[in-house]
Amino acid sequence: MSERYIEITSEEINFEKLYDFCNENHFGAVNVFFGVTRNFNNNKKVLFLEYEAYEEMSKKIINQIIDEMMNKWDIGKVAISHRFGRVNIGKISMILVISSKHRKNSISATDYFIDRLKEIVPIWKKEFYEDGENWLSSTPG
Amino acid sequence: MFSVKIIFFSILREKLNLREIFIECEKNTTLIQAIEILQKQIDIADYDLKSCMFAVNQKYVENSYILNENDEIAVIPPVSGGSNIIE
Repeated sequence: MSERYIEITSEEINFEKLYDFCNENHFGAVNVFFGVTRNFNNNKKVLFLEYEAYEEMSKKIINQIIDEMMNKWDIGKVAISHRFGRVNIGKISMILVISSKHRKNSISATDYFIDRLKEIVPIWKKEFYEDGENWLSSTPG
Repeated sequence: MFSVKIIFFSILREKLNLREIFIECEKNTTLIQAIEILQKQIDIADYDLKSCMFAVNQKYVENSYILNENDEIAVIPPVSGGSNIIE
């Protein structure tokens, strides 16, 4: 499956690696989505987040979602990296890169991927506040 | 009889203070029956399970799935990957 790269990592995400993977001369569009951790949620100041992943299953489900996308849209290559463990505020928690010949396909596929990620990929996040912590359930997420 | 591993994540793992447990199943035990066996073994409320999805060997399955030896059941609380953006 050379058209896709999937990574669940505790390290800072290397954007260039993902971009280089997807960028080929015959694709006119490379659409990039950065998920960045916010400092406020539900009117509470968030200090940092922690992600937990069922790593092997997450990769399988992401593969399944990419299959779904490739059936729906004419897209080229897909690279996704998602963090687990502690992620500080303002840091990147996920990057999704999709290339395509025409921009609309990769843009639509990006939106679809993120919706599906939040439905079925077994990754969870917990927010830490000054006065406690909370596992977030599903969207908004 | 054979044993099946059940694994827990995130909010449920913390609530139960448990990462995994083994239960004993008979031949043709379904997933939902396995969850009933689990509830006899540990204190886990219907309420906590209601919102969960179940996977066997890293695939989402129906409640009627028939378990085999060495299967691994994952109890999947509502997921929340991605960033904490407001939609």
